[in-house]
Amino acid sequence: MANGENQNPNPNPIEATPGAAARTITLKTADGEIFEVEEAVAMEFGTVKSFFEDDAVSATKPMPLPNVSGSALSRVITYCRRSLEIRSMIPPATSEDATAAEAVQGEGDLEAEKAAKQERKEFEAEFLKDESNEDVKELILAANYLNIKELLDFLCRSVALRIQNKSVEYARKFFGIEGDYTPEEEAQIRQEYAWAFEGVDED
Amino acid sequence: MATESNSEEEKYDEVDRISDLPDSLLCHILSFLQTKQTVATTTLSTRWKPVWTMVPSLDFQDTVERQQNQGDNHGNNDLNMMFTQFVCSVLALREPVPLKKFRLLLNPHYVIDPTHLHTWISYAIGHHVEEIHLFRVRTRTQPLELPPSLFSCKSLKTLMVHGEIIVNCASSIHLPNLLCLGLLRIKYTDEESFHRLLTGSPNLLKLIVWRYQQDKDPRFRLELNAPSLKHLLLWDRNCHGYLLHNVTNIIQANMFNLCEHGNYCHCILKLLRVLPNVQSLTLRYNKVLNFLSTFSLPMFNNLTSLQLKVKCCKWQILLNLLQSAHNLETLTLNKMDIEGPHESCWIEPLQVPKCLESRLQSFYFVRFSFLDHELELVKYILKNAQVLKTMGIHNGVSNWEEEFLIRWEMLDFPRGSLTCQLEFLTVYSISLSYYMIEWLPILIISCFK
Repeated sequence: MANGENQNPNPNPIEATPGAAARTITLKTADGEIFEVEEAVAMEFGTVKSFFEDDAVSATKPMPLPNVSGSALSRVITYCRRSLEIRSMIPPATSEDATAAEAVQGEGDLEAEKAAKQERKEFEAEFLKDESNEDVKELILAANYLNIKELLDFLCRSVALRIQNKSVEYARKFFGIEGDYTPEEEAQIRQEYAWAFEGVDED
Repeated sequence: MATESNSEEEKYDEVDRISDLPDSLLCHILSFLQTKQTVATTTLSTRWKPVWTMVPSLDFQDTVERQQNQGDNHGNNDLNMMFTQFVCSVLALREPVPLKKFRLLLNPHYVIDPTHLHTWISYAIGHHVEEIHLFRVRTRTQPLELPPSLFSCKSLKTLMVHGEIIVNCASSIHLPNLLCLGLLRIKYTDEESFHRLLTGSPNLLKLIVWRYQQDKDPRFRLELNAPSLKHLLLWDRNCHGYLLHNVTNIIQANMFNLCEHGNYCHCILKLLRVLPNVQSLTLRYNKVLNFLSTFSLPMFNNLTSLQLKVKCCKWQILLNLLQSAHNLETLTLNKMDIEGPHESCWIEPLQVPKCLESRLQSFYFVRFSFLDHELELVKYILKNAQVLKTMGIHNGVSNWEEEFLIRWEMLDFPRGSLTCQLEFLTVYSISLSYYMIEWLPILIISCFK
């Protein structure tokens, strides 16, 4: 059984409360890897959060994550750590502000938000640079299982961007999908939704 | 693990992995694409056939080019009909799942049938929609009235409407969750309509009002009483048309082109006076704003970011603002042009403004055209801004020789801040927001996505 602390490029774990030693939560992946994660980061995982809220379980007992591999969890932890850092660049909002902020985002960001946005953009571009489609898919499944909305949105948006404004043929090739319609069936669909195929570049 | 062939194709899968994902995740991916493309995925393979019907958002953008010459109207009509047919089919065949966002970005050549728009909006409302965006609504004759059910939609959080629409709020409005409202180039039946709309949106956070009144339109004042409001954008040639009160929570205000009439200084001053807590302010105007004579600005103690978008040589107000905003951190002087007559609008003050001494960190000058008074301003700020980190000068003229010489000169200007970096930007790389009439829908879309 592999037993190793998660090593990651960020040497500064986030403290749960200033001045106090960072509380960690232990997670165990499907392939038996053990990860000790700062509480603040682990609480980004909706699944973990509700596990520890529902049950007055001691934080030292390793929580099993049967649907997540070690490599995926490592990437997820890297993302959430950085994401927390970037979010801390913006002055804290009250809970109602936070939900409203989603609807009001964009035009009219205050300076701190603009800077945070830029950092997030650069970080996210770097994060997926070398990931294959298989890796991204694994991350999507992990983010979905762990219930991390921000990461899931980012990953899904990135996949969507890869085929945005491209033709169906391109998307098929890109994802390796085997088309299994008969030519007649496909022609019929294309006619039924004619406008969907109007003016699209055959890439 | 699929073997990747050459570097160009390394991103292409040889084995289909994505189709393994459950429907909900595929829908999530598709929700970031336009409906035109999500429907097209139905032909990827039989596994993908039903996925688009469950995507929780609809984004119809008709950017298919139409023929410009009059002779090909036939082709244009066909495309218009195809689009209408498409929207109707999609709504009919879509699964009855909730709809988070409904967006219609219509083609400039597309004239909408009011019945269709009513049906489509009612569909959205019936599916608990949270965001509605309507752009470039064009009608055959009269401006279109929005269905009354829209104004009592409890789930609605964002409403952006643009085009030949008239707001007629005769009955009571109840939009308890509306956070973001954009009324772009639409009309109002009377003052009461606007007033009722705002009163019925007690939790409104962000308001954009772009009014483009022609001479034949009745002139009435839009009364803005919105204590919950935090972000405001007003674009109007007639600033007499606004009465703002109870808006002290506004932290971000953009005022564009307010007033083309005589006493506009007074008008703008009146507007600025009701925004004492503003943190970020953008003023855009075509004329001279000169407050030196009679009026004085209120103190803007929370103002940290200021942008002036002005015509060449018409930024007299800059000094007043510097003197009223002791905590200013970012200043942008964004010239709209470099046209003459070139006369100085900068007078060195007797006392250095407080924000320069202790707060100003960034200063950007867009379309710098190497005029004497512009150089004076740059010199003054470099000398007196003690904590300046960045000064960005964007070149507005293409006289490279002159630019080169003056750049060298600028590097020698005495600097009050040892950490100041001087950047010369020859590409317009600052993403500043400015709304042009044709670009507005596109910009708004990218801002509210």
